Amino acid sequence: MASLSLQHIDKIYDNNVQAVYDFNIDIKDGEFIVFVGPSGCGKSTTLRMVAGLEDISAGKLLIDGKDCTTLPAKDRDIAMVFQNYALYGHMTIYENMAFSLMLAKEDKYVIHEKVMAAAEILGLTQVLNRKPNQLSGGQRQRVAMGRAIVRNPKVFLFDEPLSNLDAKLRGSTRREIKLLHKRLGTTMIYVTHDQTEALTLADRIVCMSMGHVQQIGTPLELYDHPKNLFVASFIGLPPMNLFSLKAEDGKYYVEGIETHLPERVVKAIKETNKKEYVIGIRPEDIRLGNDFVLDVNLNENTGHFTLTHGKLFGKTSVAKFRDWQRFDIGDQVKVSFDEEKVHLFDAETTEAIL
Amino acid sequence: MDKERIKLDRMRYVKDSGPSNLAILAVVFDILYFVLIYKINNEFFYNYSIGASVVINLLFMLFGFWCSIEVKNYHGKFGYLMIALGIVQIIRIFVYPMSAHGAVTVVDGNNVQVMTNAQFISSIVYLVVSAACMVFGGLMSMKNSKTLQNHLASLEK
Repeated sequence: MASLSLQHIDKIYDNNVQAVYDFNIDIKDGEFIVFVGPSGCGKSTTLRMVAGLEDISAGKLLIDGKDCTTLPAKDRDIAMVFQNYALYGHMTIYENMAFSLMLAKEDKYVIHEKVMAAAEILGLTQVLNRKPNQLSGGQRQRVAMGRAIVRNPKVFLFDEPLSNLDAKLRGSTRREIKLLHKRLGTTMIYVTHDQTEALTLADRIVCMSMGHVQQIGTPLELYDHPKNLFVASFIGLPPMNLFSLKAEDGKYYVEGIETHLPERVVKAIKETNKKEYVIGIRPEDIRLGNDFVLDVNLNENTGHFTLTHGKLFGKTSVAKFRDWQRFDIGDQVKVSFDEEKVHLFDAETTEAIL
Repeated sequence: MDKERIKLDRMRYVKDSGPSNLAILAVVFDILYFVLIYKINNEFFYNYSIGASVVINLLFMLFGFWCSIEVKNYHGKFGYLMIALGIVQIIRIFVYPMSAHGAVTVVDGNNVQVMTNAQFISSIVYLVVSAACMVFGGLMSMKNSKTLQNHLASLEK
């Protein structure tokens, strides 16, 4: 186990493209950190810099207080699990898991004990004599994790490990990773573009966009109190509904329609005294009521909830209702929203106000 | 787990490379043997028996490689085949090396020895080492496969 500190980390490639800007985080011993963001936001690059697979252009990386910025990957005592498993096809699962220890010239009896212990944890004891091509995607990913576990590293790094799996397997493997973290208690850094993985796995999430850290916080902090419009629109499924808001002469226009706003929103507008804002409402905070009209143009029933797509304030929006709702295309559904959960952003800076 | 137990348990997942490598080594020494015999430049060997010798060498290499693969996977029955191949190598000592040792043949009208003493000793050594590798590997394979079977039976219980 180890604590990590990434201090003002930058990554600039030889062609002067900057992939990561001023990345700062202190990761506590045993913490599960998830880097989340869209493709190309720099999350994998940051992970590779921690692993030692990419040079750090500027800044410092401390592992357990020791400066590891220029330390070679092999000396960092870090194990990485890749999206494509990276297993040796000609070796059995046992040999795949034992390989790194054999290279380290570990005693063969110790290797056996470590491999068997890891296989037991991951439920792989029955397949140790098989080759990787005889396993399912989920089993292969567990082998890749097993190969990391036997080394007993200070830090585990996961680079989108579930991306190659189907939805069902992704869910079960995700739970296994969470249980593995509980069991091992090792510091883990996990990269994903899937916000469900981020919200369910992380102790803290690092949300990134265009190489910049947008927000660092617990899953609930990012969900309930997004720091800016990017985080608000990225975290949450379906994403938050965003509407332009104009304040003129004590009147408020949402998407050009004069609207009565909750008292706390009005108070925040008066305090900031700007003209243009963005108002955000999560689909799950919209409920059946009497305040606004939602023109339905698509209804998706999933069993325990219904996603109703339509026009709210004339803008395409989505509402998430509990239970099975039988709306037809063209229906006008009267809705309200939880006033306490309305988000307000500065339209110019995109920073959150409420 | 104590070391003895781990050693047994490891056999479930690790190939039996000892006997397998010995089988390969036996083939290598057989190759050294026939290269030595065939490079001797006189007509003593050039009769019908050379054909039989070539076939025996090919078969020895074929079965040697086959045993090497099978014993690696603890197929103990191939241990018997390895022992048989070892016995064949011992018998071969009494075919060419012994018959050629001290024999004289005519080359360009001159009487010459078929084999020098050094060649004779080398050929004997190659065949003996090849035979020893096969026999020892075969016994090892039989023992290891039996041990593994007993261990698996005890696990099933």
